[in-house]
Amino acid sequence: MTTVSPNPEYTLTIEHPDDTNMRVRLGDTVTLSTVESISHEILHELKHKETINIQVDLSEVETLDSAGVGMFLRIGRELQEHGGQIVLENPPAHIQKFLDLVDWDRLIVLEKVPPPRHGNFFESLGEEAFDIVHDFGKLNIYIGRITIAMVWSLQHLLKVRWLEVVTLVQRTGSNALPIVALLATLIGMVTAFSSAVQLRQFGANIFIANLVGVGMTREMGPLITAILMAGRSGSAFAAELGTMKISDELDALTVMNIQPLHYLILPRLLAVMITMPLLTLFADICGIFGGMVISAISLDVTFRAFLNQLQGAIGLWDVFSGVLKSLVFGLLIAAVGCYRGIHTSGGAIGVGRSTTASVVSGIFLIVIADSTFVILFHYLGVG
Amino acid sequence: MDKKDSIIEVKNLTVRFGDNLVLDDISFNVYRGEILVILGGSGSGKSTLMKHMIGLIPPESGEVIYDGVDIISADDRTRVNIMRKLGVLFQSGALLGSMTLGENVGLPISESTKISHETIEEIVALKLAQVDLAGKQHLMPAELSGGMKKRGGLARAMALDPIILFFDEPSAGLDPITSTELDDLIIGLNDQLGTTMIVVTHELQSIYKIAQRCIMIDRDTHKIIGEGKPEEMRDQSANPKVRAFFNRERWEEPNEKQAQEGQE
Repeated sequence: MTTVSPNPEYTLTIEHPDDTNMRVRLGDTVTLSTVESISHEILHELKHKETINIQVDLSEVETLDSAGVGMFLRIGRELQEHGGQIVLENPPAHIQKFLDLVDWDRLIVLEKVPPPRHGNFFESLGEEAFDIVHDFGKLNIYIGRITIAMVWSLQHLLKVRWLEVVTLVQRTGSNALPIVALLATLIGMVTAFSSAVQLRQFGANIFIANLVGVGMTREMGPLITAILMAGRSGSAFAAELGTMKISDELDALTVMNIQPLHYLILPRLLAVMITMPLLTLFADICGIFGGMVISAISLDVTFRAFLNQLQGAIGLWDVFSGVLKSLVFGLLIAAVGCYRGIHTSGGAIGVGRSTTASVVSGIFLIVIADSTFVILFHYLGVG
Repeated sequence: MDKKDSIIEVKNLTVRFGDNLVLDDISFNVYRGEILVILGGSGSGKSTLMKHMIGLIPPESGEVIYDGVDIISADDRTRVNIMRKLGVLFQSGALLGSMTLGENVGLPISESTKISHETIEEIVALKLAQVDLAGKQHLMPAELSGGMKKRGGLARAMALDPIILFFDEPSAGLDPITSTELDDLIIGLNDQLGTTMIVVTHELQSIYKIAQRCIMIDRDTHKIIGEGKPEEMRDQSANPKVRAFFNRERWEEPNEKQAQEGQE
C-alpha cells in the first residue's frame, strides 16, 4: 500500500513492506513549516497498523532543519515505547552533515527526561509546615537583630546614616502627602456622610464632630496611613533589597565589612518611624476637615460649631494613642518589607514574590497589632 | 563565499543618548555566511551598535537594511518577519526567570508555529544537547550557573534555526574551557549551517579564533577605525590604536591630540 501526500512543499510516500515495517520516502522541505503536517500523516498511518519499525529514506530531501530532526525524534520516541525504532537512510551529503552537527546518533538513544516528581498532598503539607517553622526561626533571629541594631543606633547616634534617613523620609513621607491627603479627606467625608442620616433622626447633629474626631484620630487615621505605607513603601523596600540580594549587592556589602542591617535596614526603619506619626497626624487633620465640610453641607453644623464641639470631644490621649499605634505600624511595615527583601531568592519572579509577601504580611500584621492595641487599651482602662 | 552578497547593510548610523554621541555616521556591510566580529574598548558602543542593528532602539539617523528592507523604518509586520530570521544571545543569557529552561527554549517555537507540544519537546532536547545542556529541561534559570545560562540563551536563540545570529560578549564571564567550546560551537554552526554570525566582543583569544573579519569602533571618535582580518589589523593597520588593541598594549593619546579634544 502506498500513500502519497498532496502538500506542494514536500513529498511523502508511505509503503508497508510487511506488518511490522514501514518505509517512508521524504522529499523537498522538511522544516519548521512542514513538520507538523508530515508528522501528522505518519502518526496517523501508524495508528492503524502494527508497525513498530520505520525506515525513512531521505535521499530526496533538500532542506532539513532542527524542527525536522525534532519530528524524527518524536516519532522514534513513540516507536521505542513499542520496542521499535526509526532509521534514517540515504541522507544526501549536506543532510548528513546537519545530522552529524546535531549528533543524531546520540540524540536518538538519549533517554527522555522525566519531569521532576512533585510530592503528594501530605508530603507538600509536611514540607510547608517545616518551611513555616523554619521561617519562624529566621524571623525571630531577624527581630532580635533589628532590636539590637535599634539599641546600637541609640548608642551611636553619629554613626547612623542620617543623610540616607532624610532621603528616605522624603521618599516615604513627603512624596506620600498628596495621596494620604486625598484618601483621608475622602474617608472623613464618607464617615460624616453616612452618619449624618442617623444623627439627624435624633437631632444629634452636633455630635458629628465627636464621631469624626474620635474615629479619625484613634482608628481611621493610623490605619489608612499604615495600609497606604505598606503598599507604597513596604513593597518598595522589599523590591529594592530583593533586587540587591539577587544581584549579589548585599553580599558585596558584607564582604566590605558593611552590615546590610546597619547600612540599609536601619535607615529604613528609622525613616518610616519618623514619617508614620507625622503622616498619621496629617491624615487626622485631613479626615476631620473632610468631615467638617460634609457636616456644614448636610447637617448645617458650621465650622465654628464643629470645632467648638471637637475641642470637647477629643482629648490628647485620643490623638496620642493613634500616633503611638502608627509608630508601631511603621516599624512593622518597614521591618517586614526589609525582611522579605533580604530573603529573596530566585530571580525576577522571586522579587515579585517578596514584594507581594511584604504587602500581604504587612497589612496582616497591622490589623493584628491594631486589635492588640484595642484590647490592651481597654484593659488598661485608657480605651 | 561570495563577498559581494550583503545580508545586512548599515548605512550612516548615528546614535546619540541625550547630548552624548555614541556612534557617529557608521557604515558597513555584513556578508552572508561570514563571522563578523565587532570590537572596541569598553564603552565604545559595541553593544549599542548591536542593539541598533537588531532594531531594538531607533537611532538618531541612518538605516539598517536586511535584504533590501530597512528594519528601522519598516512597519511592525515587516519587522517581525525580519526578527524571526534573527537569533540573539544576550550577555547574561536573558532567560525568563518564571519558566524552566526547556520552556524558555521552546517559547519562540510555540509562539510562532503550530508545531505540537511533543515535537517541540524533542526540538528543545536537540537544542539543549547542542549546547551541552542535555537533560536540564526542568531546571529553573535561577538554578543555573552563569555559563549554563549563557548556553541556555544560545539554545533559545537557535530555536528557530535563524540565518543570522548575534552574540553580545559570548565569552564574558565564562571559564576558558567553556568559552572555547562556545567558540567551537559558533564556528561549527557557521560552517555547517552557513549561519551568519555577528559577535560583539573584546576577548582577543576568541577574536583570533572565530573572526573572519573584524570592525573596530573607537571610543573617542565614535567611528570605525579599522576593518579586516584580525592578524592583518594587528600587523598592518595604519592606526596605532588598532595595533595597540591587538597587541594588548597600553594606549595613551598623544598629548597634542588630548589638548585639542579638551578644547572641543
